[in-house]
Amino acid sequence: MSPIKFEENMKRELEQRTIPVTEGAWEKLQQRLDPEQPKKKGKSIVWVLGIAASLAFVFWLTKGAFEQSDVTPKIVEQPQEQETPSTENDTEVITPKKEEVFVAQDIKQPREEEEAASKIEESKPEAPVLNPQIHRDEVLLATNVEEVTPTENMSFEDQKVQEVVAQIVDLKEQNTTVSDAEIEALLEKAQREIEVKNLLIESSSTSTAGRVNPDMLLYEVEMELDKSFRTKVFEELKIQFNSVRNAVAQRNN
Amino acid sequence: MYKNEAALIKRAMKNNREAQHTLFQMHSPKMLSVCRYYIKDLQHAEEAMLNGFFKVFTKLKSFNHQGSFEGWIRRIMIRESISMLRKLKKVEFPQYEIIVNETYNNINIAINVAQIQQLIDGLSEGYRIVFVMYAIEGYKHHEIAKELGITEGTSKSQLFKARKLLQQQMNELNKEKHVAH
Repeated sequence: MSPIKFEENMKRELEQRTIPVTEGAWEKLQQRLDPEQPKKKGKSIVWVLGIAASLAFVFWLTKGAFEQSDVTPKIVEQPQEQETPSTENDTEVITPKKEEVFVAQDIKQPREEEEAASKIEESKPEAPVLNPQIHRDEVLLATNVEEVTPTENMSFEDQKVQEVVAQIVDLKEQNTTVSDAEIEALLEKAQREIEVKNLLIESSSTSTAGRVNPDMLLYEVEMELDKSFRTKVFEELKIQFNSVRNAVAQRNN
Repeated sequence: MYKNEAALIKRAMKNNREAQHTLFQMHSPKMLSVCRYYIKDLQHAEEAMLNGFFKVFTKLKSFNHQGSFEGWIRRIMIRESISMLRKLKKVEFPQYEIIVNETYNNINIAINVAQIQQLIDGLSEGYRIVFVMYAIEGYKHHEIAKELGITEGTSKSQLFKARKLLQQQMNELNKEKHVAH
């Protein structure tokens, strides 16, 4: 009993006691506490910077994705030969993307063009976008076409190289065997387009800048074209139209 | 008071210095007294108290509002006081244990706080810590054993010895009083 009572007395007396702290005790404690805060602030700043960097990276990725999606291939309704990338009202130049197949046209002979068009329409009636119609009496003109590829800074020849490669790839993707003849046809076509472009440049003046001299073009065609090659061109036209159609269908999917 | 303290604690958790200063002013005199139970030297006791408050404010988010805030601070102060004594290399506990058959004399004399503190200061650090933790703070032997890293038997024997010494001192005080009168 006594120790308990004695201890209870001690406990009661001691519990009531307080001892005032010395002056400056809080300042000592504060000095110890203050260095703790900058570290936490530093940590929080690091977290904030990390989050900001992550968001910026994600934004950059999405922006790049959007930019790529914005550059959509445009298929010109009127098949035209590749011309200069200059943008006059009456001149259009097709710069197809990888999926596109440039369709070359010999428009000087409307009847044959109709046959080609009808062939195309018959073989692929579901062509979704490409308009295979070839207008009668239409002379191949260089018309303005918006450049839709991101390769604006490339030379025309480089662009044609890319197009030829793209065409060959498309043909392969369609599980068609790419014969040497087809490749040769593509190359010849591309070369012809380059020559046409050169024609434009050579013949350009202030009033006719960007236009093709139809007489000169006709002369060139007549000089180079023979009947067998014409057939090849039409066959190529057919093949390329199919490629374009499939590429468009795949893209839409 | 409770509402004010709860608001202060909440602000102190966000490292609000004013709130922390206010809490310090509210509790530091009591906590210095607690540290003084264990540490004879007042300067060392205050150092232990400041160490304790440093931990209080840096670990304030671990206070889960189970029990009183003062009780939570007090436990931190006790640990810091024991750490201070260990740092000063004054705490030793015997390896052997004494089988205790406690018998007590009925001693009941009126003594003041200063005399109580003097009596406690007369104990060795090991006896003092166990006695204060058991008799003043209300710890159980298994809690004391866990806190100090000793066995329950050691805790009991230390308490027995502390009480025995205190009784002797109390008897001497009692005699002196009777002689004085």
